[in-house]
Amino acid sequence: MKKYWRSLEELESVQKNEAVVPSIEFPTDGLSKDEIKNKYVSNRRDFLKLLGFSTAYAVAATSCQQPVRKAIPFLQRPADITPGVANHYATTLSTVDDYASVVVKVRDGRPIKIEGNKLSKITQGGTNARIQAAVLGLYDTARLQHPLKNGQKTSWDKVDAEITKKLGEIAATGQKIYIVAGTVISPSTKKLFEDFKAKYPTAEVVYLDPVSYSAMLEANEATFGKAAIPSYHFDQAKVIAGFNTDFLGTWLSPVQFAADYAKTRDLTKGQKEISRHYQYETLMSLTGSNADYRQFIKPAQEKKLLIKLHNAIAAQTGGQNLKELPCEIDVKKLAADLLAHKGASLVVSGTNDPNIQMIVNNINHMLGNYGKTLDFSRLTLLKQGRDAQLHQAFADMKDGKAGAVIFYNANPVYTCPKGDKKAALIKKMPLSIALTDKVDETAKYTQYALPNHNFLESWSDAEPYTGIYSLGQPTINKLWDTRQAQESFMKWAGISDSYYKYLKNYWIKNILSEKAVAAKDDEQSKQQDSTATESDSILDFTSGWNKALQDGVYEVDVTNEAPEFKAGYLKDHEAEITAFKKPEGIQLALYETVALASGTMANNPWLQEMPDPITKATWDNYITVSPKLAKEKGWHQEEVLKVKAGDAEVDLPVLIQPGQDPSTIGIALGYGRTAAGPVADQVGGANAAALITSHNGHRQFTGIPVEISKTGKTYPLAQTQTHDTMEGRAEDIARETTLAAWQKDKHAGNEKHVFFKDKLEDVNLYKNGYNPDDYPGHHWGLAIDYNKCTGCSACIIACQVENNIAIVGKEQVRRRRNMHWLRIDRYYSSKEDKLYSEVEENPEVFHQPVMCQHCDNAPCENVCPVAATPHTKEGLNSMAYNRCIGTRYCMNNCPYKVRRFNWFNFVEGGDYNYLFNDEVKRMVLNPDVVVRQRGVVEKCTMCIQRIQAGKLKAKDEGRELRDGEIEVACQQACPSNAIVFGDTQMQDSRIVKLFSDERSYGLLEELKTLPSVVYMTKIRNKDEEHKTEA
Amino acid sequence: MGKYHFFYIFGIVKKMLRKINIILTLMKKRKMFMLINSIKKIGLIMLLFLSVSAFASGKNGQNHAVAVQLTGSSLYHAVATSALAQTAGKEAQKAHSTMSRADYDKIDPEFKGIGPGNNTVPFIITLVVFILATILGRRKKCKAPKLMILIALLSLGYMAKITYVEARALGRQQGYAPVQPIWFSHKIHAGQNGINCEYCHVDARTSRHAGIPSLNVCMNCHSQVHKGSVSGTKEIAKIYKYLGYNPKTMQYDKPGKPIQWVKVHNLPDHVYFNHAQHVQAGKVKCQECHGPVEKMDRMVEYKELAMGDFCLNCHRKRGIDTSNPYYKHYKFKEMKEKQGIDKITVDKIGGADCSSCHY
Repeated sequence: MKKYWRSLEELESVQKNEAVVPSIEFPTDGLSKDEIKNKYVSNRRDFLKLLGFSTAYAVAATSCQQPVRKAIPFLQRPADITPGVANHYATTLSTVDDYASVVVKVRDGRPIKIEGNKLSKITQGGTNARIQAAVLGLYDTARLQHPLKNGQKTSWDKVDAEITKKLGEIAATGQKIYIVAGTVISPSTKKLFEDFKAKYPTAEVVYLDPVSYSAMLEANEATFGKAAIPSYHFDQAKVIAGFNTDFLGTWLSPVQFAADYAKTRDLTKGQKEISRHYQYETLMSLTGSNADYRQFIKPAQEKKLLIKLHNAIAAQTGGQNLKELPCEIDVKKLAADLLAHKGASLVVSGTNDPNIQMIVNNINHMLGNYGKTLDFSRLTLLKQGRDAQLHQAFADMKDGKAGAVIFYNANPVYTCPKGDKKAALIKKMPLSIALTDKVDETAKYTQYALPNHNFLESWSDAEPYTGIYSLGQPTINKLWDTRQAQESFMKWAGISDSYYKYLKNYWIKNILSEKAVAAKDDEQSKQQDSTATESDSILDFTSGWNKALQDGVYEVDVTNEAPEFKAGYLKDHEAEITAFKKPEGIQLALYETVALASGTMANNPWLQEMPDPITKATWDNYITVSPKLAKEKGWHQEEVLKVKAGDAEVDLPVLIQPGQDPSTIGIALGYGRTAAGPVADQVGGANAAALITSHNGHRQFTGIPVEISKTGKTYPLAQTQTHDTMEGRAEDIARETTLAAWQKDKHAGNEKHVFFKDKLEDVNLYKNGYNPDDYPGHHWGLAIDYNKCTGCSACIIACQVENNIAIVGKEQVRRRRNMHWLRIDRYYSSKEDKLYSEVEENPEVFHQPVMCQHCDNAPCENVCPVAATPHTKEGLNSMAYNRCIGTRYCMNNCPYKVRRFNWFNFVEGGDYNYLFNDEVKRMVLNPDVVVRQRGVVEKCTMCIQRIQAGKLKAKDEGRELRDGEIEVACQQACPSNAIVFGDTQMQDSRIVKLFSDERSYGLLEELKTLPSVVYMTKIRNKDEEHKTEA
Repeated sequence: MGKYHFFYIFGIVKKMLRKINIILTLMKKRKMFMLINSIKKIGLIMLLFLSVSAFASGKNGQNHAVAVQLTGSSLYHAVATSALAQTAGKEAQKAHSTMSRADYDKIDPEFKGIGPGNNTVPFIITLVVFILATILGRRKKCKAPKLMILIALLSLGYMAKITYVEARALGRQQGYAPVQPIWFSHKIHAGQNGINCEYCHVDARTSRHAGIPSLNVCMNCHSQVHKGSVSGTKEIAKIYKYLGYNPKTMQYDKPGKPIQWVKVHNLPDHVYFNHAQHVQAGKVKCQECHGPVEKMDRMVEYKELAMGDFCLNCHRKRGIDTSNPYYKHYKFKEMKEKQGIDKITVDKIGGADCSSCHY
């Protein structure tokens, strides 16, 4: 039988076969001494004082006059705005970390929520935490609000005149003008760069990706003759082998991959099989935590392992062998599985080493995956940065060959190693410009810091894959004196037009007409072409522009020929590819967190407070260390170590993380920002980008040799992993089984559900069971499928945005006062009979989203002294904040620990200076949800505001509610469609099917609380037989 | 100085204040009036607590300190809250300053008595009775101490009742009829001219807000109608001024400025009310909640928008439109049989749940 644990302390109890000691719900740690000693004892006198005060208060309050409130209507009302009704606009989000076609909810002129665009073939309506949180970036008061020259406020006209003059001079001397940009996927911007080059012929564009994909491009160039990344089809793959790649969290196109991956894990639509996922990785990543088979490897082992796999497959497919390096890891099983699924498998590596990527290419080629799971007919354009070009750019700047540099969406001083040297270089440049959203680490050193629009204020387009386009439109007028970067380029290139017109003309001429041409030369398309040439009018209904803008996405057929694989390349360069140097000492692996990725959104408190899906830490980065290494070196949790790689060093606290390689430490990128804004300033952590080294001209993120020394200091970390425990009953809560067992018996792993369903009637705590008469119409329910849930935490942020949930800050998180209505419990599990050391080294991981279960026999409802949390006629456990007096009995009595208490007035800013602290940031609040005051309990309402709105819409239109019409925020955000909401009393609805699925069960169902949320047993595709409990 | 002297002095002070107030009212010094009013209230509270403490302290006067403390703390909070009231009052005053006094009083007589009214005078009288009874009853010479105690208790009860009435009206504004920037009359528009409510309040069927009409709606008629029967061109000219419209040239040649209407029907922030739900789905007539608007010159909050008496009572009595196909899968038949009812009221399907309005 499996044992589950959430922290190493819990594991110790589990190993000793003791009951897991539940952590205290209201702990005293972190309280002041006076608070703990309860010095503020009240006596009779205090009582009388209070009595007098409250009576006086009541009398005085009755004499208060209500403030005068104003109602201010439009003078001339625009046609498409109804006050109080939200509009939705499709637009495009494209940052250095993410691409998504999104739908923005705009309420009374203010964008308040980002939702996925269901029409998009890429994101398929999904989002991730970063995309959900991006809306706050618009209202970030730390944004640069006017153009700056050498730190002084200036005007756009002056800036343009000066820059145009200078650029002309520099181009005339033949010095280069570098545009350093985060990968640009906007076709019109690329065209604009061409126009810019036409005016300034020495201009050159260099892409800078914070985490480099340069090796992949190079390997593909070598083996295919094409420096491009093919599109990955995880949905076609039956066997997936990942090597040091977090494709569900941060790698390449995580939202798309999570959606595709979940499709292969789905068992709710009559499927019998699921994909099998092997993961070999150094650190424990989100992707690794979802793998069926996971093995930790040293960074240096990856190449050896891949060569071994390569040869094993070559032996069966008739490929050429590579020189084998000794490798103790067994790949027989993986090789056999891959060979059994030729053309339906996928081998992926995220390591920035062209040799490794070439071996991976060859493996995929031998397996016949090209043209199937890997497709060169549509190229991935999301990452195009080449390390060599970047290197050249900085070399030219050093040598004086370059006269000007323009940074656009790029922050090399922060994201590249040796930032201070780069800063000195930039300072010396004759002309340096940063087109930026704030005065970031790089813009501090440039002569001009020119504020760019937020994406919600801009026109934009994107081509993430060849032939798949999306359009972006502004959802609000600009808030400050900013200007879209493209418009700046246009001004300097001498194009006197708005970017909107430029973009539209480009689309009508180049993109929309492609389809028109393809769609035969009939009369209509001729007309289209004629309108295509002049298109200033908004009212052109022929070109397809309006439709494309409304949908936000547009697709054309592409017929790229698949490049031929140069099979001999590897053999020709065998010595180079298989070169191996044995590493010594402890190695460092850098990674991106799911919350912050490269750190561009470090000033976003939602993301900072989001618990990491694996470590459950908030607000900081840290050194992840395996328990074995920690024991060996005598390091303990929260001890600050000094990590030195070359000249660079960082001081960071230790976080002990099971499941990672014992000779490697891990540090997250994206933290330690120094110029990102007030929230980022409060965050600890250090910039790990300083530790990136260079290997054969490639930025190296893993396997960096480091020296580590103790500092004697400690630094507190705020982890949420032991909060809100369900008292060590994880064996009942987290149910899983293997695919084979499930195929035999659909109830496998969920036998207890059958047991409880039949036998619990007489022994339950609450006699009044579910009575259908209590629910005359709807009964809302939620089903969560563990097979699809990856633990990516998009739902946590979506919930927070939708429901105006407060940010409490690191100190309060340490005191277990975080307010997330939805948390994701992360359980480690291991076989009981295994030894302690083995167990902690490589546990299996289980992600479980927990929100209010809306029990029909809710324990919280019975103990409220003021009836502030009654049950509704639609099966919801409601919460009337204004009735709540804050006794917290309900929190004590809730077995799921999903209720949250407002310990302080988080809404008034003050010490909690994160989200509600100024008028501008408050604009992001959802006006349909009340903002809670201090002293009341709150919890998941199942997005009651969305339910009410959905019901009303159906009623107003005089029709029945449609299944799937109402979507709750967590469901809508989920990239893998793991959450389904619906009416359990609606016949043939999806939720009814899921509720009656054999895999479904309720949490702690033995208590007979009758939760309205069901969870679906996790099916792992492992060979081991599932053993049922005797 | 004994504690009874307090009451005597306060009595005199109070009388003086009242006289000053009357004078001030006559002199139309509203600001001063408000100030004196708040001082008066503080005094009342102090008196109340001193008298309570006088009862509590007994003959030996041991609890004198407590009484003083109580007075101190209540004084402090009373001052604090009065300050709040003061600022709100200022705002009100500012909003009203554009209108003349005569306009201000021109509320239709039939809507004058709406609301809880002013309870200050009865409260003070009862308080005086209570204090007198207490003082007299505690005298050794008193011939009918029991009667005095009875009077004291009764007056205390009456004061409690007034406090309850006032507290209940807290945050509610029944009878609220602020003066608006434009002397717009619903009586003329909706009553005499018979314009449908939703001609102007267009969003009532689609949005949570019924919507204050934008000025282009006014201009649908008033681009032609330049003169009213009561106010002449004065009020209609205001529309043009706000819009930046020149009626002679018929051009919008000046920058416009939005009208700041004073909101009459206010709900607390923790209440979600949706007009579309009631007007479109519930088929409730506007007048059912807003009263006979078509008879009002000046808009007045006709009904007390209270949760229990108003909202829930209606939800418990009013039947829903069961013919709406939305309710197809509701188990109405079974409900009627099992619960022995002949009408499905709103509360039967969740209209009395907290979370239908509070979230």
